[in-house]
Amino acid sequence: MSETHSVESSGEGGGEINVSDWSPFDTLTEDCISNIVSFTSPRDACVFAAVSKSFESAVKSDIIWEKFLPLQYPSMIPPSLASSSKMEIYFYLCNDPVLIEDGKKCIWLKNTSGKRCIMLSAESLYIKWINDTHCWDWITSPGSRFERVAKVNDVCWFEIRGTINTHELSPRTHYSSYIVFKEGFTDLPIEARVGVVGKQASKRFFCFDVSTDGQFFKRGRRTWYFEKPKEREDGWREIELGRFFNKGGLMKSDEFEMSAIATELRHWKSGFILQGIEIRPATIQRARTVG
Amino acid sequence: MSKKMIVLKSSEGVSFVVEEAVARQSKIISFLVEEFPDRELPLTNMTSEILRKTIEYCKKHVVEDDGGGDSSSSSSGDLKEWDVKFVAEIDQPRLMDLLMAANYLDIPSLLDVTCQKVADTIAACNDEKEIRATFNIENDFTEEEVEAIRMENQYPI
Repeated sequence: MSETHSVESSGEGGGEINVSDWSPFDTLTEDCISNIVSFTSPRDACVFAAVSKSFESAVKSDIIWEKFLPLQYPSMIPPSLASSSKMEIYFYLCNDPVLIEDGKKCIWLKNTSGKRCIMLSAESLYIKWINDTHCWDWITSPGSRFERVAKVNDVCWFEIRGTINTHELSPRTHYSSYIVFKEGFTDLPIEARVGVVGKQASKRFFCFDVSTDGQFFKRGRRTWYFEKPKEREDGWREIELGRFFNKGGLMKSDEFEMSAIATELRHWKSGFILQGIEIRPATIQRARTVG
Repeated sequence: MSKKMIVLKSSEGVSFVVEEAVARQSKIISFLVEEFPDRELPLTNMTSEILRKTIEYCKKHVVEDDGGGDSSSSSSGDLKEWDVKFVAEIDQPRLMDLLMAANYLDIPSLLDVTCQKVADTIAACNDEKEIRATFNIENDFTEEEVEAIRMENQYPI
């Protein structure tokens, strides 16, 4: 008995071989597919939606987005969104920072990961001489997330400090903190520290002047590099103060302090406008495993 | 004291005699043995191969009441390692069948590990084209539709 091959030549360049149409996803219910996607990330879920029509439908499931939302999300959304899908709520919280604690802080989610981001307003920070109107003023500024921002009139001792409790942030996450400002004073090294309150902090120097990139200066026995500010999409500038890792955990939380201080040089400084300190997940190259 | 046994029957009609404590890892079986004691349970949508795998998983995860002590963190770490190895050794079609079995029988921990394995494979893909190729999924979208989905979801990358 001889075997017959089913591949036929059609005479139109034929020889087309039929591969199996079967996909392992064919046997799964939509709930099962949604369940699988809930084990990925918001970014992966959005990529997954573009795979096929049935997947797009599965990705809309509340099963997925409920897992990506922080536990306290119901307290973060306006009543008008209470009956919206979890996916709509997720993207609302990514795109519209929510003011909390009497408008002194705002919180939103990073869209790719769902990790919490927080901005501390100038009003929630400790600012040396803030109550002396010769030194600082409160003003309103377009493009700010907060009602009031702080403007330096004239100070010699420049010192701002902000604290964040790690339970406010997402666990097992590397965070960066940034000072968000406009109109910095020029050519002056400012010392930034980030660390757990009462413990040794990381230290770096930066300068508010955009034109000072790549400069080095000597302080003590070390040569320091000036960090350069970056332009933000909202018209403000930012500069990184430092990074920390939030281990998370229900039993224990840490209080991190971020500070920017320039007191050693007896220069009078003016013109600086401070919106606040932003804390968001650090950008680390995503490691991909080979499937 | 002899342990109480129950019988699970696969789609091919093969009977598996298992300890009740093992089978009770499944919330559905747990409910059924209370409602219908002393009866064998036919699982007509599960092949012998998948049922055998499911029982293997449940045996490993059954909490031994006789031991009395709490499971230490090292043994729960060992169990996690065992889970990873367990799903790593299963090929993709069988993994999907096992996932469906865990879903049908309501075994949350088995559903989690099987979903995680598939999710890891999805996460390792760079884009939707690679996901389609990996899982042999037909693209029923037009280019414009894919673009619209990207816009709608703000396609965070």
